[in-house]
Amino acid sequence: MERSAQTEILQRMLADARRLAEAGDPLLAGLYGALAARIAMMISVLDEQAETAGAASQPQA
Amino acid sequence: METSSTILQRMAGLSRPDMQALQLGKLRRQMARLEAASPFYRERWRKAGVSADALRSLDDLRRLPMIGKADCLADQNAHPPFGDRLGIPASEVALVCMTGGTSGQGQEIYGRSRRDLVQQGYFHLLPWYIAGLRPGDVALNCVPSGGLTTGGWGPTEGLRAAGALPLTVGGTMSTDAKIDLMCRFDSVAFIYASTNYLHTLTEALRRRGIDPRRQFPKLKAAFIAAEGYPVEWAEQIEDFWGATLHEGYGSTQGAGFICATSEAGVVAPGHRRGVMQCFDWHVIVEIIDPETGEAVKPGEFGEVVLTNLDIEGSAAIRFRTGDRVRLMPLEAAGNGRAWTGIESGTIGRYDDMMKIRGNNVWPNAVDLAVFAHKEVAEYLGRVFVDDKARTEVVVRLALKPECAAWDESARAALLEQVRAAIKQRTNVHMIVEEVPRDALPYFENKARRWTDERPQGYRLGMDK
Repeated sequence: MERSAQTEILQRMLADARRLAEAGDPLLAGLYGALAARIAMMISVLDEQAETAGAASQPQA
Repeated sequence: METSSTILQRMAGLSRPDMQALQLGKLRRQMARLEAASPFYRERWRKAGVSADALRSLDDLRRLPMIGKADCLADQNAHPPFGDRLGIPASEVALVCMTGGTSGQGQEIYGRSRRDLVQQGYFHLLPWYIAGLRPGDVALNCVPSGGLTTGGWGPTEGLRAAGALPLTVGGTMSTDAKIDLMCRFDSVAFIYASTNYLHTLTEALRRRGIDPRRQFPKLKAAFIAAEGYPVEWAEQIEDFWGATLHEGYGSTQGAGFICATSEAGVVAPGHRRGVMQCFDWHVIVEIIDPETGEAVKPGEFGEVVLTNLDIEGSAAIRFRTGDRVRLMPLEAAGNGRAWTGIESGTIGRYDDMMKIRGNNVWPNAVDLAVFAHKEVAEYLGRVFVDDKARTEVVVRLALKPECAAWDESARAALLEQVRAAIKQRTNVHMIVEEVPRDALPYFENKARRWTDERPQGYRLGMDK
């Protein structure tokens, strides 16, 4: 799967997890929050990949 | 119900028949899964002539054979490391939990799935949420974390699941250092500790002249587990801390807490003991007469037999815990919830196991360590709360007459060997002292070598 497609899925999941953490059952608020944090971390890993790929394609000085 | 959780409101609103119908459906699913995935259970149930399809009512649960520690050990010895009861592919095990191994029989191994790992946290979150823990609350966890025990991982996961700010101090710093840290977070809202450690912490605050009502004004609850206590002690603790005292009961086999006190805590009106209510939609808790296997009546004591409805890896189905509890009438908690009730503060054992500093200690294990030294004639063990409110264990032993001519250094060397052997077998440091043979009894029938004076110690400590 393309990195951008993965990121798009995760962004939707992150928005949903954050909405649930705010307005879902309060018993599960911490679990929703933890889920959102995991998704956010995965997005950042994918973003780092994108940045690294961009840097690698730059011509050396 | 005061809680705003619709999940808990729904469970609180179920009638007993509705709760049992929910349990029956989940039990059928659990059994069907294990029939396919666990030769351990499949074979036992086939021999007993029971199956998930044939389960007509919850009464049929009694047709399933009970299992115990010896069955689990035999299974994992025959099919190492997890045994045939695992019920999930070994490649899907995300957490390994083991029992303490201090029984002298061996350590049960439990392989938990990723889902189980989260579930273990949830089984800690549930009672703590009911006790008042909320996201962002500063929570002090005084129970040692990590390792291979359920009690080492469950609370850590539970505080994460709660979204709390955890201070994981158990086993890592002295009591005074813990108090110093607490004072830097004056918004401490929740404390989780063993009964004994909460007592130790309480006495340490008193010695330092710290009033927790002023120092920790946001404290909502202190939550204890593991040891019994007098109700007067519970009232004094609540008065001292200005917070509600809660209790939970759980085990490795339960994958966390299987019951806990309601919002009201451990003390009921009229200086009576409160009720711990079981999370019946996650676990079936039977209380049986250990001799007959029949269910006891409300008000009577019996042995806990538990069945996991949601755990996937190494699920326990009708596991005999050896724990002795008092079954309470459904209405005893006074909150309308039709959840199985167990009296708080009186959980004990059917065998002579003692819970010492978080370790399960069987006198037999100490016997083996002490009498492995042929010079020892007899001994007595005493567990008590010392003047610093710490649990202390003293083993007083007498040497045989042939050692009479030994000098001091030889005697000291032997006592050190005994102490090390006890520590190796039980994981508990005990003070070992020599006394004259006549200072110890001569047992004629069953030896009763141990006294546990901790409940009296709690009372004396608070009366200072």
